[in-house]
Amino acid sequence: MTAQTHHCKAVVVGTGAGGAVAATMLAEAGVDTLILEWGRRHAGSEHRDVVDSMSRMYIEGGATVAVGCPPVLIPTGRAVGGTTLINSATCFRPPREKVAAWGGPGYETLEPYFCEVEQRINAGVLDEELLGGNGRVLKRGGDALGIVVKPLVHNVRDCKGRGRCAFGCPVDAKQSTDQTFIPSALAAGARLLPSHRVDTFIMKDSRIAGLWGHSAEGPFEVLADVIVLAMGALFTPAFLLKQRMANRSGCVGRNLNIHPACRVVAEFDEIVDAFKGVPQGICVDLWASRGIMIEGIFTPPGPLLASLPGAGADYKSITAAYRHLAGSGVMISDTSTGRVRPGLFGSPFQAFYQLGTADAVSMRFGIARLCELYLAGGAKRVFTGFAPMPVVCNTRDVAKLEARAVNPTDFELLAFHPLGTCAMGDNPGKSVVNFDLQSHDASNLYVMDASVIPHSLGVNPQVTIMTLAMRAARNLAARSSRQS
Amino acid sequence: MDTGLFPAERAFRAWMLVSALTFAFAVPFFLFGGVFIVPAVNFVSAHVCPLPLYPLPQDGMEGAFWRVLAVSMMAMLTWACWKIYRDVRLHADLTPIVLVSKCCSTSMYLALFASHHYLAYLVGALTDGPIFLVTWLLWFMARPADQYLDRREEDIIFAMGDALIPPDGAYETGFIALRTESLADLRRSLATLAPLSLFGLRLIIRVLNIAPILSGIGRHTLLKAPRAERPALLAGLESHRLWVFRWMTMTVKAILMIAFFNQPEASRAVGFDPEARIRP
Repeated sequence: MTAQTHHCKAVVVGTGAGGAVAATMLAEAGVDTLILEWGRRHAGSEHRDVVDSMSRMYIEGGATVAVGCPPVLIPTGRAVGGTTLINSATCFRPPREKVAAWGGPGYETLEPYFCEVEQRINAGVLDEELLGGNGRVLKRGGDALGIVVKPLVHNVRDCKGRGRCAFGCPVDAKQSTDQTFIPSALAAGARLLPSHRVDTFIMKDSRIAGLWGHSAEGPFEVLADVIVLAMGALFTPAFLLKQRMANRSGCVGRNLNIHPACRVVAEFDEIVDAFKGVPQGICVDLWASRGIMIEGIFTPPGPLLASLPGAGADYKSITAAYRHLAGSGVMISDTSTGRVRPGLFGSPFQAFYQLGTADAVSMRFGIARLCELYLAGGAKRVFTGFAPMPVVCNTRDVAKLEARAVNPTDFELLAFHPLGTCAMGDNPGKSVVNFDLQSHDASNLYVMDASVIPHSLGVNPQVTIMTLAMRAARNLAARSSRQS
Repeated sequence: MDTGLFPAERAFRAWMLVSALTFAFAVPFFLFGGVFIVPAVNFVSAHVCPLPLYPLPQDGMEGAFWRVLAVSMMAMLTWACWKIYRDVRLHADLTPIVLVSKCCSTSMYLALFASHHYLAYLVGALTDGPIFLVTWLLWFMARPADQYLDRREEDIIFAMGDALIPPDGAYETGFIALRTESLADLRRSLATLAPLSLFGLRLIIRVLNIAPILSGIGRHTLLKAPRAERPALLAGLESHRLWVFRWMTMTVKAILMIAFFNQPEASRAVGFDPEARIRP
């Protein structure tokens, strides 16, 4: 079969927080830009049930796992919009000290970009009404203990509080990149090819000349002067490792941070109806300096009830209390690191991650504080997700929980923010790209996604990724225009 | 033709072609060159490792007698692999012929090597063992085709689902009442998995069946245990001190409960309203 050939000045692979922004900046600067996306485009009206959404929009139906003891589930998106289509729409700027630690552009340099990103995705503090029961009960606990429970900043427009952010917003209220940057890119002249999966680089005279891949229509090739990879912190390094490119530092695929998280569910006597309202509407950042963040989390029955303990009549009675449940997650700014390798037998990548003891101790601390908040808010019992003490009913139980020896295998871990596998830096021996996100080894190769963030952030990273991509793509466009 | 086959079936079909060609080559090789095999192995043995030399047959006719058996076996395996290659779905039931043959030869070679220490036996085990393993692995992965789970695995997950959500209790709906719909949704999820992930999940389901015995919390497999005992077995596995049992149980529980509560009847039973919203 003959491959379809596309020519462009810049090809951007991926349409998530990094790729969509990069493509938009390039297109708006007049650069002939082609966008490739593995997944397809989804309209809000298509989002029906959980299984349908996960099958359509998540890589491997949401079952991507980092191997370790225990394995960690890392759901990631595969759609136009990438993971922004299935994230909780939470927006944070990165902590100042983290930006300073990168050693690159300072917070003040990045500030105008933060502002522009936030304006373009309509980031704003949620109305209290939208927090729903899930926010209300945790806030009540915070008020009782004198701990500030804050409404989060979200990128939404005309949110109805449908409570299904992680499964695709049914009313397109979430301002994911398919709603914001991608339309802007297309309006500026960029071309989008959804359902196009990239397989290899095309090399010519030891230089990357383009990309080769396949779609439902058959093979294709893209010939471009500049290649921007934005496939995420799991797929991008796996691709580079498979191609044996841009890895003179040996850092590609290493230094994987994931923000490991644990889900805690509380049962109340009152009806909470936590499925109405924004699931991740509130946060507690009191212990952020210890790397611990508490954020709301709630889902339709299947994913939530599956995490609760027991079987038989006991378990059934817990599930029957669904309307009385509230949920939050404890997220750790991890000091542990993992790695990514190319996938085997059809898997897009292999990730390995082992939670360290220090992070496990932080996780136990965060779970204990969250249990206290829920109990102070009136919960009759809290399901901790901590194996040595899966249920606590009072503060004495919380003290017992904290006294238990901790092991990384005691937690049922999830993670939503893979970072760091193509870290940026100015030392070519210790980083993969420079602070313009240009490969140290291949001058026309750029990486503009979560993989360039060199350390765990401790907060949801979409604004950080967008900001870095915006700055790098503008710099690239300026250089490109100077050269031409 | 492999049009319309699943990736695992295509891989198995390709392996059957390789196997058929290999066994076909073995027919004339054993027939005309079989007499040189043992001396060649002895030559290697004498120069490479301090193992005793395999005694050559005293009478040429004795060697010929065993070569006839070897050649007929190779011819049969060639035929079976070729038939499977021609239509992997129609003739997949011939696979046990290859498996039984290679399993027998591998185990007997190993037993003989343990007792007599001839290099020839070790070479036999190292040849047939990998053939057995690869054939079994690819056959296991290809067998359910578009159903993703085979009948036994479905039985295990039905038993687990029934133990998790029995028909009586807090609400009327039980897993078994919605098992067909839940299985259909489960298959939708499994369809998105990479072959290696699906293989891992199927292994987990099968190991979970025998986990009550492995973990020491029961005397029966999940399937063989009395229905009334299964919830306690699952709860025991979920809270087991070894994380592997906990993790396997929670993994299968998660995929089952996501599929079950995806049914409108089940989600309504726990009070979920899919149209709920804060603002109109």
